[in-house]
Amino acid sequence: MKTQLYRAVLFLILFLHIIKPSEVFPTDHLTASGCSVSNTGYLTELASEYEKRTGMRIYVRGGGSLVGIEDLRSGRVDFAAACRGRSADDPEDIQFIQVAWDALVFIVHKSNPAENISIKSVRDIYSGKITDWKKLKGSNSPIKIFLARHKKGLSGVEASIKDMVFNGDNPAETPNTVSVASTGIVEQMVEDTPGGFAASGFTSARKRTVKMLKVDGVYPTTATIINNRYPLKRPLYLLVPKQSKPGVRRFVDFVLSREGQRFIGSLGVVSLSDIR
Amino acid sequence: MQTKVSVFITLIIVVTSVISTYLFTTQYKQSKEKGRIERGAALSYALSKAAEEGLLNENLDLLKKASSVVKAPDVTLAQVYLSIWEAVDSYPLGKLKEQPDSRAVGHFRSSGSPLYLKTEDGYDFYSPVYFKASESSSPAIIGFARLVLSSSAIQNEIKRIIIKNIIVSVIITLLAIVFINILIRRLVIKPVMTLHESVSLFKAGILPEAEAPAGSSDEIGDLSTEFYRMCRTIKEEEKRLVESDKRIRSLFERVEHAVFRLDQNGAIIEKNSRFIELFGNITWLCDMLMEDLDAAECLAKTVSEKAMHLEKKAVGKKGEELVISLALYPDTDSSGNITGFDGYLIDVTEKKRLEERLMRSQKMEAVGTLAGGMAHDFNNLLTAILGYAEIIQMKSKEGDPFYKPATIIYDAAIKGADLSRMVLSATRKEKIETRPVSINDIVINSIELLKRSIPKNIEIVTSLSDDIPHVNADPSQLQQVIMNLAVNARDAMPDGGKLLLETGEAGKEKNAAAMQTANSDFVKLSISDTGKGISIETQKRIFDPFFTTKDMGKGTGLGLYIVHSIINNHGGYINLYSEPFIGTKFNIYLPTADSMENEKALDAEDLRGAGTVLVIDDEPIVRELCRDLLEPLGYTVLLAEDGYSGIKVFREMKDGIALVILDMIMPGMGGAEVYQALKTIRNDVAVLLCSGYSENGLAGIDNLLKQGTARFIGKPFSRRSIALAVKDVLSNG
Repeated sequence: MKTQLYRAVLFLILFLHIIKPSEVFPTDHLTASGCSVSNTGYLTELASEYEKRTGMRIYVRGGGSLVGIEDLRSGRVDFAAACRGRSADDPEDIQFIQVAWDALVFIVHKSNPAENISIKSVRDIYSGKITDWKKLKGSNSPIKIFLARHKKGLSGVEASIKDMVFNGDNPAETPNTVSVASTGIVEQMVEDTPGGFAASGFTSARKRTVKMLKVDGVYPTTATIINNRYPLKRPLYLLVPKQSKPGVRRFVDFVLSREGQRFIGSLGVVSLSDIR
Repeated sequence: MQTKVSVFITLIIVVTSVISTYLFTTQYKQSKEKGRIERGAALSYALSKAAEEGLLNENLDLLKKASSVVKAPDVTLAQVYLSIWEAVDSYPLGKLKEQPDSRAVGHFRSSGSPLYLKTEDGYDFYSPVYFKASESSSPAIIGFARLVLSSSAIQNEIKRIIIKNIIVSVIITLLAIVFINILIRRLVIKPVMTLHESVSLFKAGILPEAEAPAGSSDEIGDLSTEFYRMCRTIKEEEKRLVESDKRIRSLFERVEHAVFRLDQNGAIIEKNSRFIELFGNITWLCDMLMEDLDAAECLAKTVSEKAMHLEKKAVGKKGEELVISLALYPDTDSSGNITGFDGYLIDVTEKKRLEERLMRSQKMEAVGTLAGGMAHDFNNLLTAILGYAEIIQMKSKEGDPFYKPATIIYDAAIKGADLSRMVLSATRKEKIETRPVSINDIVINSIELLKRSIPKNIEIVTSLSDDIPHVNADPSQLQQVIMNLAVNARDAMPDGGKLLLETGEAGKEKNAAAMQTANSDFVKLSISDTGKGISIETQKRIFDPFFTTKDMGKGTGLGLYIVHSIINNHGGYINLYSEPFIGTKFNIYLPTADSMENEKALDAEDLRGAGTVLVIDDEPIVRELCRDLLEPLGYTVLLAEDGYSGIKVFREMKDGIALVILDMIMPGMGGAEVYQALKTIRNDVAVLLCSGYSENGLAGIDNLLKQGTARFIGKPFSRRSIALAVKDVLSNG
């Protein structure tokens, strides 16, 4: 509801921008893109809060960690968000700054009776060994895998699967795997697909109308992530160019500040201080 | 024609349709493409705009909504990409993984302007999705909207248009053909057919009725009118030609000439009736000619000399011999080539005959003139010889030494006088004394004489017609005619034969009809023999003087010439028919006498008289002879040497002169003039005209004789004849 309101506002602004080009908007603003999980999970709300506090407007959008990196590289945004760590292909002059915790979660359609999944089953699904929900006590339908996968590089979620599920191996692509642009899209796909299955981030997935599966019997919550019972914890980063705008620094400072961390925590996101 | 025009118009329509369809479809395609491009650009822009929010918020619903914006039948693909060309959404969803065109990816690396690409099956539109944070900030590309429009729709539409055009063209063409056919039939074919009928009728000789078909005032109407006028002109010309031809034809047929036309080789291709009348239906002109004539040479000569004139003997239709005058002219066409010949023939047979006769008579005239002149002078001489021989005889007695020579001279002179008279009579120069006589009597008298000179082996047969009229003739001359002809007949029959003498009326014989003059009746005397006949050549010359077939010395060549002259002098004709070894027949035609006159009996022997006689003569010997003859008979004779002195003497003596003997031909004043002068002195003057010869004398003497108391005596005269003449004049005067 809040998001929709925000979108409406944004649309209105754009609309006014189109029809009333002479109107003056705050000239001081920041733009950001990147990790859908971060975007959906906390960054939009954080930016809003930051504007409230500082008057500095931050335009945030998703697209995936890779989009963020690319946008940053081409200077289209002032900073980016990512849910994976630096990979070999990433530019050197980008700083990866962890600002919160997340966890890799497996989501299915709301209607799917499946509750739990083991890492092995996840592996089997991605490998194409398990193709039907029946085996996983789910609905009587084939499994449709959605995955944010790019040609240009690893998306945040894909990198996490590679590390956490396949121990460094790339998950194979089976005939029932649908590659989409970003995790934000993936989540929406699963929302709409009864037989859908995907990996996502806890931070954003909790906001979607999807069902998160227990992994090896542990349901992902902030608590199980913080106390490490949920096994697939991972960091969330902000990516900042080494030569960044002062506003970006100030914003990062705020995020990393107590106030900032507290606000993140208040959003239901595992903050740095929660784990420390 | 209809078909040709239809095909032509169909072709034009089809070509026009093809061109217009091509132009239209090209234009249409271009405009459609342009429209499509504009539409595609607009749609992709709209999509990019609609996708902006969805992309910003990674909201699939918004993206879906954006995709639905561009739902249209020709949109085969609508995609929204992230800025890293990862497709976020796609319509249809199945084409989510469809990769963008590498050219587009390349394009947007350096540019932010929309792009469209033409592909095989349509257009690929790419519009960047911008995010612009604020007015001052530069817009950032946050993704791309892609829209693929299929061109198959356009192509289908164009196909439809082409098909529609073809159908419309076909329909229009069919309609046009039908319409044009109707139009052509009404405007062209119908009038042309009418004209054609008129032409056919005209060919059959019927003049078209109307000037032009009703209601056609166009060119065909004009043509019809012109055609009608032309027909009328042709008809009139034809009529004129026919009439002209008729006239020429009738002239051709009526003309006296035999007219003909020949082809190039000389064969007769046309001839008039006169030609046929003369020669019948011959094929080659040379066929009728008597002599062989090289036709080719003849024609070549005609060509080279432009004309040819010939006079040739020809054979007529019935085989008779004709003399023809032939004229031949070459006919040429406009370029000078010989197309044939034409010419005419004149039958000049009769003309030739007349010419021959004329020539003969001219010849005779010439001979006669010569002989007559000679005889005149001869007579003067003979008069003296005869007179003085008589005087010698008179003055001597038998047994005297001069008596016999004088007698011989006298006889010889008499013979000379006879010969002279014969010559003169033959040349008409002698005054003939004609009276009505019976030709039968003359024939009977002649036979008595003939019997003495005709041998016994020749039978003399007469066939005399009783009731024939008398003829005006000199009996002695006619007798001579009979004698001459009989002697010739005798000579033609040395081995004997038959001599036939016939008389009859000329009109009763067919052959004679042609010889008759209109108003005269003729009596015919025929003398025929059964001798050897006379050749054609001889026949032509038989009446010529001095022409003879007899041996030298036997004939004078004057016999038939004299016959001919006597008959001519009597106003008659003579002709002959002769066939070799069958015989010869002479026909003599003499005019009948008007009335019968009794023959005067001459008085007897008393020659003596009295009175003064004036002799006017330029010849001294004749003057002297007259005195010497007349004075012994009791007359007083005065002599005058010419007309003047004669008149002078007569005026002086006047009533003392009983008779004047007047010579007709004298130098200075002629006899006729002197006579007139004498008559003025004394109207009842008695005159004895005297002449040896005078050409005009005969007519002159006739006039003088009619005027008064004159008589005529020819020179030479005997003592007796002059004595009788003088006595006669004086007794009747």
